[in-house]
Amino acid sequence: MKKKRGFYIFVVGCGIAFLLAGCGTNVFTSMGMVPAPTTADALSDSIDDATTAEDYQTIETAADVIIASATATDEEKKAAYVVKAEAILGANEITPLSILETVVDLSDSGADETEIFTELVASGDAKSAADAYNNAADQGDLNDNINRGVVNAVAAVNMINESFTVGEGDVELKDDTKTYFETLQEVVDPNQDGNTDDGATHYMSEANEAFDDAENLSSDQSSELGNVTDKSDALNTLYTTAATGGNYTLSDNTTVYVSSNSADDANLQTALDDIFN
Amino acid sequence: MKIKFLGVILILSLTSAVFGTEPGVAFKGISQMGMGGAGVAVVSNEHSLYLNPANLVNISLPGIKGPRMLVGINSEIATKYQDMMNLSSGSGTTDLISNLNSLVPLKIGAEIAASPLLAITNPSFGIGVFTSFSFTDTMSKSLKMKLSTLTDAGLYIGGARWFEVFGKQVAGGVSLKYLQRVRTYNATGGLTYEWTMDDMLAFQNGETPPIDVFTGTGIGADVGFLTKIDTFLGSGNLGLVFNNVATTLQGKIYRIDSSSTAELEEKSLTLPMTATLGLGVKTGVPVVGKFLGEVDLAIDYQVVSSETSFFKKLNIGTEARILNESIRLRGGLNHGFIVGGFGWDFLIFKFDFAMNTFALGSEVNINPVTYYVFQGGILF
Repeated sequence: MKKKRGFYIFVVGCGIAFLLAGCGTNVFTSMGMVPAPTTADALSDSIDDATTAEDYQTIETAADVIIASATATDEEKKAAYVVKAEAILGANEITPLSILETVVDLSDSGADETEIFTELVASGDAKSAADAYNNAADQGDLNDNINRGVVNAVAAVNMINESFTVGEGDVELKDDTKTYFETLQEVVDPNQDGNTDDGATHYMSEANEAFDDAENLSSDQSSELGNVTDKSDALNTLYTTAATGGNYTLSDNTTVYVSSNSADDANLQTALDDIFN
Repeated sequence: MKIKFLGVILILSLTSAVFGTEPGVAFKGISQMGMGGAGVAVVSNEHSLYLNPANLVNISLPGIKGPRMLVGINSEIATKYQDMMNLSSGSGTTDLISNLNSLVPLKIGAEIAASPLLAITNPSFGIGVFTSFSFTDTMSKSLKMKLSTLTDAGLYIGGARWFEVFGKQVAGGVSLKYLQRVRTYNATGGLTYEWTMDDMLAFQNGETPPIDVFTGTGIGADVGFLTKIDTFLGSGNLGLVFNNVATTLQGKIYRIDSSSTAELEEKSLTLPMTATLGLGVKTGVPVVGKFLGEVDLAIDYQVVSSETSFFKKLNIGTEARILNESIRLRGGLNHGFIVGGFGWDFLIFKFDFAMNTFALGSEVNINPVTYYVFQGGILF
């Protein structure tokens, strides 16, 4: 009798132990019976649980379906674009909050103008995330302007850093086999179609628009990001001047002749050094 | 008679066409939580007032219950407690951003309830007061904070009796309820209020992010039916309950705009009516049946619901009573999540524990949270 009672207690104890160990597990999800979320709201909720690149990729794909849908409303598409941006950031392990913290640290520490180009970097595809945020903003008023601004700024800095090594007053090409003009074109007009809406200037312009809409960055923080804007605007001016050939005005009001001809590379380097001085 | 009976059900079902996003009444018993949320056909105590009033007919003795305080928290509250306390430390945007960065990702939740605050039951009759407060707060890496709070208080008066329908004994019961609700309320009417980084920086810079709070009162009813059945597992009950029949809350929305001005608007909220079919049987268990005795098995399914997910409408649970019913072991599937718990009566003290998991999102794989729920009370 005692043996039986012990056996029962053992079996019930095991049952309780298994129950507690399994608590929180969803048996239907484990069996693959639960459908993946398809609405923008559900995707927005499910992104909180995403941990792997595959999770984020699944969410991005589902968001693309809503974006491409002919029946989705502008509001649904806006939400889907935001989810897509967040999924791209998640897959690339880019955290807007960390980036914003970097901007704030730089502005608080009084870092020099070029330090943001070494500090404000993020590996991965910030550009696609920025595009998604910008598309969301095109659908209507956005309440994710800080994130949009941060990601656009990183996209712009990434584009500059991918082509140039920026030091204080010294700019070097990342790829020596290219001319200065070709490298400049990669930054300002990567599609080489004469349109700069895919270049660093465009992303910085979008970043500024977003920060203006957010209205909540301090003047120091805005000024820190303004450094990137100034540099990308100057690169744009240098590129458009060089594209047709002409004199570029340096900060000391002297001019150098710049063009797409590799013979003028030394002058382009002088101009670039001046921009990042 | 049969046509009339079906007609009533049809009309009640059609009422569901006016579904909104308003959540149903939040009252829950801890035994129900441990049993995966099932209880329509098995719970015959003061909780029958809102689970299925028809089950009041199965109360055998008069009883009074004082406050049974229930507290539920999820584990992240403990692990992130210090980071949360640090959130307001320091000054300026730098500290806020740094503090937030150490806090995300965040998923916390808690509930406090008096379930019941006071209840008096008699065979076929019950009166009870229940209260419940719950909140959930999630913050993602992209810094979207989703906050929902819900406070319900309800006074229930219910009665039930047996009828004969088509030669079969059917219990019918009705609970009338007076409800008060306070909850955050977003612009689209949903429960979850969302703050982005923009809102948080605005808050840091002295602006009040716009937020709405609804407070309202109203009356409504729960209507239930119960009949005895025999199944291959054993004898039991089949129940059907219509919750929130004609339940409307009248109140005001406090819209607080960015200039901190609170504007009052009249608002009427209809609680979505649900219909739940439940089966409960007493049955023996193989192998350990001699030790456990007969156990309650229960399964509920919401046949009319604002939920779109099949799995979120499904609750399955079991309860075994051992050692002269002083210990109760519970387990089940709440929307597919494995949950469990136990109850222990010791002298005049009553203690219950449940581990309850549910999904905050529209589907069971979206935003699941697990609560550790404790309840204590005095037996009298």
